[in-house]
Amino acid sequence: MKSVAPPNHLIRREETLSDEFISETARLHGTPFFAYHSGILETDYAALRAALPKEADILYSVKANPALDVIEALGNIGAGFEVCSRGEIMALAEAGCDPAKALMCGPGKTLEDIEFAGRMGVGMIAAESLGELKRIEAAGKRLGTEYRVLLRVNPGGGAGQQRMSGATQFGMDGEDVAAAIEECRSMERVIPAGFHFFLGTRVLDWRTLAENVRTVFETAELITGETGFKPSVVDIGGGFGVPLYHGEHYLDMERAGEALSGMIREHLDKNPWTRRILVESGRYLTASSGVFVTRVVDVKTVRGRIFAVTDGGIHAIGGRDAYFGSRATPMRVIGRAGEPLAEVTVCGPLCTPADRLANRVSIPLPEPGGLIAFYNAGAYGPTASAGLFLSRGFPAEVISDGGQAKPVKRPSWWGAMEKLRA
Amino acid sequence: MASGPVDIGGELRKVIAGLCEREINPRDVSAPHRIREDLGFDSVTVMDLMIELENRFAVYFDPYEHDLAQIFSTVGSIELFLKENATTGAIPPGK
Repeated sequence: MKSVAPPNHLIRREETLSDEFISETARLHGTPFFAYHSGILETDYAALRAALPKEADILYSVKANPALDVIEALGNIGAGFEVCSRGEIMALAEAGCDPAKALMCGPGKTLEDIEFAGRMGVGMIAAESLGELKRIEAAGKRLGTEYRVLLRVNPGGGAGQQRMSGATQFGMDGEDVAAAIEECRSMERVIPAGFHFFLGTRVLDWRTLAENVRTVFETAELITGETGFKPSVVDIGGGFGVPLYHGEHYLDMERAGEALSGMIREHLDKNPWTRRILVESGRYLTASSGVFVTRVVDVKTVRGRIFAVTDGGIHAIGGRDAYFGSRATPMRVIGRAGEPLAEVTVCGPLCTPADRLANRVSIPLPEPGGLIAFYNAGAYGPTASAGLFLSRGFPAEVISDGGQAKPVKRPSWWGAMEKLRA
Repeated sequence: MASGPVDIGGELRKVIAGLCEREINPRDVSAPHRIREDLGFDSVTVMDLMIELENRFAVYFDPYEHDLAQIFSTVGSIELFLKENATTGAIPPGK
């Protein structure tokens, strides 16, 4: 294998946190840490907002980053929310946001989950199966409340780096959707408000997004035609990706916006009973805002191969993507620009050869005590990673607008870390 | 992606020999060799192999579409996959 230069053309230089900021934050808050730039959060939200027509509401998928400051910042600039656990509903409330602006998703919602959502005032809930629909009805009866429900449809098409429809555990196929609509007619507590779709994740090509949305609208019309059910809400899903590797590029949000806006407007014209279109995003809204920083503990050569061992490994940042560590991602050795390049494998401190952050990358030779920063790390960081592995614990998280960083407010369950009870 | 006819088998053996922990001549890498048991690849080095092959042959190993355990069982099974997919220049989904 040849050494590879990191794809640093993917670092958004104009807004990125400075080296001074990174060094100062490491000094004050310790390493490893994630730092989120609130300015980038706002810029990325604005880009998505500008790409979509006003009839489309943006739901922030809390799973990407449940730091309360992040949730609050996005809520303040207009995002609704998509949540899929009791913990995320709690995070929403603790961030001072209104659960009425949230849609609850997820294929395995228990009666307790559904009741919790009801008690907390979650605005809508997606029903992933006939069984789940019945659990929602049961919860409604126990609470004496009604649930606005989106029926999750799995149309079988769709693409993305991970396929979310087809023969997957998500949603209902055509027959079950029709049966669910029929079931709703005789239910007292379920108000069927529309459909939920989610076809693909981490899409970087606007044509793929357009294709997914085309499938969504065609399927919605097909179901209306066959069953007579007229959805007032259609959630078209998300999947807006952020590049990490060579050969990947930023999503052309302008072209995506043109295509999606056109299709949305056309669909609303032809289906005037549909009043709201929901669009989801987690990764796109948060990934670029985050940088992961770790300190080099040791640099050594073993059998001719240079290793830089750091204090933050895959337990801290391994959750984003299966290829991380094996494929080069945007990264910099702080304060070493201009130094001669070397082929280095950057590893964390874990006792497993799988703990690598960068394999045979061509970077300035790190020094013990130096810092290495990994970019586009704002989504699926600590909560997606095995922080407790080897009993190591989680990295710090800070947020900044470019000025001094402050620790993020974490949801209360970070401290408890025990299974939630209804 | 190479522009003329590519000796897939030959290239594959060079890549495998290059990544193999122990010294092995590409000519001694044969179809029935099991990647893990005979050639000593582990989960980390299989990942390296997969990425190297993706880069060399413009293929994409999709964990949802392909049975990766089966594909990476022997040299022969990898060669078969490459012969079936490399010529179409498979483009990763979402790209």
